[in-house]
Amino acid sequence: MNDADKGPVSALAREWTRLRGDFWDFGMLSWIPVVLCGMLWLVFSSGIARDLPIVVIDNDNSTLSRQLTRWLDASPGIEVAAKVASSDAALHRLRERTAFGYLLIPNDFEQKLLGGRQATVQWLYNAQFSSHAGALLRDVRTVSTTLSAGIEMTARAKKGMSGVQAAAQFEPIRTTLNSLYNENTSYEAFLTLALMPAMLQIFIVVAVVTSIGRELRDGTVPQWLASANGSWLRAVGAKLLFPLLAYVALALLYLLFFSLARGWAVAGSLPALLLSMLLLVLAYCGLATLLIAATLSLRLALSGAAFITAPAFAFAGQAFPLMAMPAPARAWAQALPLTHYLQLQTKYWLAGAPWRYGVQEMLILAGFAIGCGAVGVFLLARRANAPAAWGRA
Amino acid sequence: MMWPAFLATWRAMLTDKGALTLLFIGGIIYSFFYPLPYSTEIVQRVPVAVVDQDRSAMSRQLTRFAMAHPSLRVIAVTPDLPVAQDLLWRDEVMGVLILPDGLQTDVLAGRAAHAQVAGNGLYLMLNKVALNGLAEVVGTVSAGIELKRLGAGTPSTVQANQQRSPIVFDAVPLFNVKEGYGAYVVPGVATLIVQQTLLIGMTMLFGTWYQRKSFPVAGKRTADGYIGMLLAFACVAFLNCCYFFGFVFWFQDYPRGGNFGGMLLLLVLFSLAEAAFGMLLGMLFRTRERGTQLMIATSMPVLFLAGLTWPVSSMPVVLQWLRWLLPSTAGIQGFVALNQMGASLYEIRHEVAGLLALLVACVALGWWRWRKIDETVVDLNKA
Repeated sequence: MNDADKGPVSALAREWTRLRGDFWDFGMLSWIPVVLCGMLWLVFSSGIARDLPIVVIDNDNSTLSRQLTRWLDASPGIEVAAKVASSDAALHRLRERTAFGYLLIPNDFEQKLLGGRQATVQWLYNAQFSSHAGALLRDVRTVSTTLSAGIEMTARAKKGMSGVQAAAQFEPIRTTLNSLYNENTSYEAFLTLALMPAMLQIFIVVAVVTSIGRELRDGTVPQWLASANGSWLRAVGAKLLFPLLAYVALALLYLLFFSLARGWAVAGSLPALLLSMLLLVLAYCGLATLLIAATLSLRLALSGAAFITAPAFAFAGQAFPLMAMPAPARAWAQALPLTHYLQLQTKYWLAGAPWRYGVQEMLILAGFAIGCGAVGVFLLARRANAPAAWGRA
Repeated sequence: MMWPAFLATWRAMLTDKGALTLLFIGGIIYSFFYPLPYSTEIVQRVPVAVVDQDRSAMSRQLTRFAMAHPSLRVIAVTPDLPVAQDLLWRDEVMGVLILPDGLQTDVLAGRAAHAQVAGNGLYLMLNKVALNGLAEVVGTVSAGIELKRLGAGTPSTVQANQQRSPIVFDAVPLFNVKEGYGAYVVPGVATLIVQQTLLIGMTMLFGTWYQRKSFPVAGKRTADGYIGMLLAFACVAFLNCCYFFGFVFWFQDYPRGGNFGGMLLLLVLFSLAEAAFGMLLGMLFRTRERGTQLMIATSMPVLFLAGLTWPVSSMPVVLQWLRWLLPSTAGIQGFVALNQMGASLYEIRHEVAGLLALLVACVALGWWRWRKIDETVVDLNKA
């Protein structure tokens, strides 16, 4: 056995000793991501918002208006927190955020309806709390429509129509609404599953940047390189190995947790999803290598990591769609591996697509890994082993 | 001793390139960068496909209506379901209208006919637009048929229309009246940006001071020194908030200017709480970059804990309480209520109380840690 074969072992051993000796660095590869991801899941673990508070201004106080109020309260997404007398009182509850909308029932509500005329109910909601308001709007409208349909059917029945006849007449073409792949439009499926990789990319970049950047900051590049027998490829490889293992394990943990424990089974191609996950980790290892190699400064590279990874989810097109973004934002989104990975994950995991629907995105991720990684190693080899590159704070 | 410490802290912030960038430049960069994806604010022309298996006059009418709908863009009309599935998997359409064979026959025979509308539930905003748009298309055509029928039996079309849907549902958005996505998310994130850049900058400075064994204020650890430093950092939070609430909200044209006096008061309290929180945190780490590493990773959980994008009442009880340990929780809720909704101080009393409690706790703990900083370290301003 010659010296070259011993090289990577000692570089790895050196890295391992360093990691074991640093409580926080080791934490960033182990318990910290688990705790933070776990906390994020806990936030959204109920999946669907239930019993959001609203208030009702019932100016009619009739049998029908009370029925409407009761039905609202019975709806799982809504809790009628109070009946209030005026819009001022209702707005006060909205500003206090103890209610997120109010229903205004006019004083001639029952009289009009029984007289065969139309009555208007107003639903005023806090659009500043958009996801609260979105969930409520759906439920409040459903309740109001149901009551409306009931009144219409009763009116028809009074004219001597049979129930079936009335039903067919009253809505000639029925619509069944379907949210594919996520029937209840659960936030757990739509948001938490996408947030986990968004967390993962932050950790990968921070860990890789830190582990290489520390050698530069402390001016220990010669020792680092010597431990890898002078090979930059091995030196960087030894730096990447532990983050790679740690975050692939984290990705698997998250896959197992959501698919087995939470019941979001992988509907499409499992091998393709696994490969996508690996490519995501590799792409960010490459990106992080390039980041530190380009800046040669731990602080600058960490600032860069903050700029690239922390807002990445906002650009990834999961919460706000890519197609509605202006061109510069879309271009930035395309330059983030996360955007491509999340499209793969959505297809393979929940939408049930076969493997061939993600080949393009996978090639892009591989391109990120190889392209950024190669340029990163090249830049390090050219510039890092010089005293001028060390000690930048 | 207070003002020298105040000035020495300012000097330390301004002479450290890293801290300077984070504390004063970071917020400005983010203020343009973060709202960028949302600048169009709303989603229009969502691509959909029509699966027409009926191929009748009625199904063609439905397709035409879908093409004319402002929030939809019909990119494919096909009789084959697999074609639509393929388009969905390719992310080329976000919704599908399925018109089954026999649709027109059923309608003409007076039987209830069924159309199916499907949206991609994994993209919630697009799903909503696609579902609503397609449902409106079917609803309009359906109503047309019904009105014709009713018109035969009732004297006037007005009466017919009234019989059709007795209760009119009128939805009115308040506060964020244009219902912009950026106007919804960015005001909350603004407070988070102020917090995170401040905390990163502060932990960076403290870490550096520990590493170099030099503090801006040397000698005996007095209360004056602590307060001076606290005020200096609070100024940074105050200035950054002023920039966001004053310039950025105006520049991006978000709802604003609700309760100015209340905002000013909460701003003072928030800035002090952030500074005390940051000092406590800063005295925890011993290297320059440590705080940065952790702070980048906590941004997302911290935002969601604030309860702006997800109802607090739907979080586990333990998180409902723990989230108050972060100044951002009260800050995000309080400032959105004051700035975007024009709340009174009474209406944000919980946030005020939360920040006060946090300030007292952080000052008490911070002061205790402050006195333990080694007295022998050198004053970096003199070194």
